[in-house]
Amino acid sequence: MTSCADFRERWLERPPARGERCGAGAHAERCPACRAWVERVEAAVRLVGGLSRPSVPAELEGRVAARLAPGEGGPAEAPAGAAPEPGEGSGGRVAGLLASLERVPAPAVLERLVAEELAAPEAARSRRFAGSLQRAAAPSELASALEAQILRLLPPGRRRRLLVPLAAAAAALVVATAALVLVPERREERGRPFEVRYARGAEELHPLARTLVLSLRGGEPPPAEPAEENSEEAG
Amino acid sequence: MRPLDLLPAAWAAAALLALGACGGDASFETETGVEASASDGLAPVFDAVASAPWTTRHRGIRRFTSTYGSSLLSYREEVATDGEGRFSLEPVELLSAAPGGAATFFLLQGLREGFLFRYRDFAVRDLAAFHASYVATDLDSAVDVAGRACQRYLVHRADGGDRWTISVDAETGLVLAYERRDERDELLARLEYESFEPDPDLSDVVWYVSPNQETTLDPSADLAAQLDFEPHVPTILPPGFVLAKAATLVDPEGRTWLDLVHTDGVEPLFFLHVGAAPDPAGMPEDARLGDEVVVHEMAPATVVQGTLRGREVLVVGTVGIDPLLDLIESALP
Repeated sequence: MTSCADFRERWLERPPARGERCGAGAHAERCPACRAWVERVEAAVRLVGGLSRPSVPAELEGRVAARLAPGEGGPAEAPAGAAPEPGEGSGGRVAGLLASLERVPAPAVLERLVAEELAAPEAARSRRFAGSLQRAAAPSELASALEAQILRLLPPGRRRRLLVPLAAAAAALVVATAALVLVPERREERGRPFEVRYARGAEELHPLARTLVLSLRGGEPPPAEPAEENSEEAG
Repeated sequence: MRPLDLLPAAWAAAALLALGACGGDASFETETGVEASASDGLAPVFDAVASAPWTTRHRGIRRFTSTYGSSLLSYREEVATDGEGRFSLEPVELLSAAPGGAATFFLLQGLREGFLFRYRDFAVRDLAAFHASYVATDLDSAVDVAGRACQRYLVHRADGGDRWTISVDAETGLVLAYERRDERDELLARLEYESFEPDPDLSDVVWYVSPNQETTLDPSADLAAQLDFEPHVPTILPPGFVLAKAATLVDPEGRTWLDLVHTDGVEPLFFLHVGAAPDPAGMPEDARLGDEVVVHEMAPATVVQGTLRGREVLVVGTVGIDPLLDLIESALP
């Protein structure tokens, strides 16, 4: 016995010929749901098939050709050896004018970007997304705030014994953070025809760049204040 | 033609109709107002916003505050425009700490007057790019700013990023107040007029004059024909950005720079390079040897500066690092 799914699949693959009722024989005659389905599909087919296909206005080709033609308002004269223009009124007139336009080579970086995208689209996309994110620097108060939280969790008796090693760990954290912040990071930019270095300080900024950046900020802000000393339960 | 062949088209047409009702240029009610692409019903508003700073004669005191990188900077300034392209922008009161104190701050702000007026604040810098990339929401909220009736709008790029809430003077189209917030809704910058004179006496105004011999070029024409050196023009720009302005500047060392200002309609992006060609005798055989750029991140912008093919190059923009590196690479000969 033909199921509704089978009937509908076969109907779509081979619709009934004109005059043939629904196809697939007895199933459609017995199944109101499938008969209704057939009617809906046929109505959709008639609707889409009856849509008008807009065509390009007749004057468009002439306007495009006039724009492309050499002379005032158009591109430069066609280079020597360019393909001769086809006859007036033919559809090839525009094609001929397009063929005579000067070809501007795509920048070399475009070929590399397209190749990266085609070779590994997900990797290229995630690299571009991650590369476009702004890097947030950890605030300098983080180390002292973390230390204070840890000390609060410890019983008072243990705080004094652990203070020195905790202070050493916090100092190491600050030193490591400072190293990351101050030491320029040299990063291999795969495929770039130049080397890229990352700096965090503003000392190397060109005066023009500095002017532009500070203008976007509205002016030069005060320097960041040093982190406050942790005075809680120090002794 | 089999019905099976037409069914995908029918479903696609239905999907497109559904998508068209949800996005693009369609309007629909939101909780806070009517959202629309910047290209439809709000177009006249933003057409006025684009031209108002250059065509409106006015004078006023306004307060600027920024919190980029968690550093607070706040001051008052006096602005004046003659409606014919001239402007004046002078700080009058420092409201927060600044390196070197108020006197140094005022002096340095004076050196940046042109850049501050043109690029610090929210502005529609290219109408076509703005309509293509930005979404504006009418917040359906009238506010009074410095005694002027204003309408509020929320503006942001269609693909995300910082959001601007602007108050537009209903009569002139000037943005009399704005807030800029990031995607976490953290306040980045704010400007608000505290006083506004619509037809003031401007006889005592000292109009801005460029200190760096700026010469404007026609960005739509061949730049090489307008310069006495070969320009390097980026051909790969971040999404939505277009070339809006081209000019030459002379730095304090007497070197001429080509300054190409791009915009996505609101955000500026600067690409500059020194115009003088390097002395071939001093260049290594392989000109790529020693090509290096350094990236600095200073909120809200990223700076890429370096020497490429023997010429100094600068790029400053609020987009990410990779788009700026792609831009530089596309400008290389």
